Amino acid sequence: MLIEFEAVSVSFDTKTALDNVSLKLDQKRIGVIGLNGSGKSTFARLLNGLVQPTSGTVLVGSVNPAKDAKAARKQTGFIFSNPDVQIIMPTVLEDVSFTLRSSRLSKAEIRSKALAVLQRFGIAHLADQAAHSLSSGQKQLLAISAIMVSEPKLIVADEPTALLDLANSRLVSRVLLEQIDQQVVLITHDLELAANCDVVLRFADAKLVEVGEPAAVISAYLADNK
Amino acid sequence: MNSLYRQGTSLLHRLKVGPKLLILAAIIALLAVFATNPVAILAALAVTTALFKIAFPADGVTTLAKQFWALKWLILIIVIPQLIFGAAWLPVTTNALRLTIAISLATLFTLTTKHEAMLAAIERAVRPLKRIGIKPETVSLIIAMTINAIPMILKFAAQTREAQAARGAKPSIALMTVPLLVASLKYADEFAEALTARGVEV
Repeated sequence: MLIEFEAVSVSFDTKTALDNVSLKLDQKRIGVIGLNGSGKSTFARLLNGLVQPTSGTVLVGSVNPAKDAKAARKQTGFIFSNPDVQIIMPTVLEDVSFTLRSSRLSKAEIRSKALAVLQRFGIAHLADQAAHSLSSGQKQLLAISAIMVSEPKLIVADEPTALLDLANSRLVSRVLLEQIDQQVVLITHDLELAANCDVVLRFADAKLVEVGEPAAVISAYLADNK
Repeated sequence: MNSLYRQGTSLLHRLKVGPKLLILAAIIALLAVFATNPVAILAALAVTTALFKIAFPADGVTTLAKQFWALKWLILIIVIPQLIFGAAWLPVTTNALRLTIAISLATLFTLTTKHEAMLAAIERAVRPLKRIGIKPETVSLIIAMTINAIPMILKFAAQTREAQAARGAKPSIALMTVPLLVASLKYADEFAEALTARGVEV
C-alpha cells in the first residue's frame, strides 16, 4: 500500500511536532528512528488519524485519515509501547473478540476467529486468563492478535518493544518482522530491529532528515549522536 | 489481579447466567431471612459447601475456605466493634457468618461465570433502557473497562508505594494521592488513545 505525505506539518500550540514532511513509501517493512521528541510518534499517529495534520495531506492507500478516520482505523492497526493501555476487555479472548464487535459475524464465528488468531501467535492457551495477569511480552502478543483479527492492511507499531525484556523483545520483533504478511511501520529505538527493515526513515527536530537503506541511515544516525 | 472465573464443566458452569443469578439470589435472600440461629447457619454452610463442591469437585471445600479466609479482615472489622460495645457474641457471630456465606455465594457466581456471559446478561437486562437513549453495549463496555481499570490502579498504587518506600517515606494517604492521581490520569489519556485506535470513539 502506498503511504504518501505531501508537505505535512503538525503543530501543538506553539510547538512544531512535524515540519513539512513529504514522502512516498510502499515497502513492506518500514523502520522509523530518531531521538525522543523528533517527530516519530506524530508521524505514526498521522497514519490512522490519531493526529491531524495542521497543513499538508496524508494518504494511506486511497484513504485520507484526516478526512475519513473510521476507514483509516479499519485498514490500520496500531500497537502502542505500553501493552497495559491497549487492553480493553477483562480476558484475553474477550479482548481479541472486542475488535470484531461491530462486524456482521455471529458470536460463534467471532470466537472461532479470535481463537484462531490467538493460536497463530501462540497464546491460545491463555484465552480465558485475565488479560492484566499476562507478562508484558504476552500482553504485546495479545495487542498484536487483537489487531490482526480484523485483518488490517497496515500495522503501525510505536516502540512495541520499549518496555520488554530481551527475550520478549526478540519474540515480538520476530512476530512483527517475520510472521505478519501486512505492511508494517515500526517506530523504534532498537537499531537491530530497524536494521531488519526494508527501508528506514530518520527524524530529527521534527524534520524527516533521511530515508534509505537501513545500514546507511543507521550509520549516519550513530555518527550524529556520538 | 487474576480473573475470578475458573474453568469447569459443572452444572453451575453450564447454567445460564439469568437462572444462576436468580437461584443464588434466592438462596442469599433465604439466608438473610431464616438463618438467624446456629442450626440454620450450619444448614446454610452445608448448602454453600455442597454448591462449591458441585462447582469444583476436586477442591470445592478448599476454594470455599479460601473465600472465608479472604474475608477475615472485613469480618473482624464488623465483629470486634460490636463485641467491644457489649453485643452478645452469639448474634454477632451468627450475623458475621451469614454475611460471609452470602459473599461466598456471590463469589461462586463470579467463579463459575465468564465475563463474556456476564456482560451479555447485563446487556440484556439494560435493554429496556434503550428507549430512553441508553445503549446496552455502552453500559456493558463501561462495566468491562471498570473491571479492567481495577488491576491497573492497584498496580499504580503498588508502584507509588514502592517508589516512596525506596526514598524512605512512610506510607500515607496524603503522599499517595497526587502520584496515584497523576498515574491514573496518564493511563486514562493513553487508554482513550488506544480505544480510538481500535475504532471506539470516546
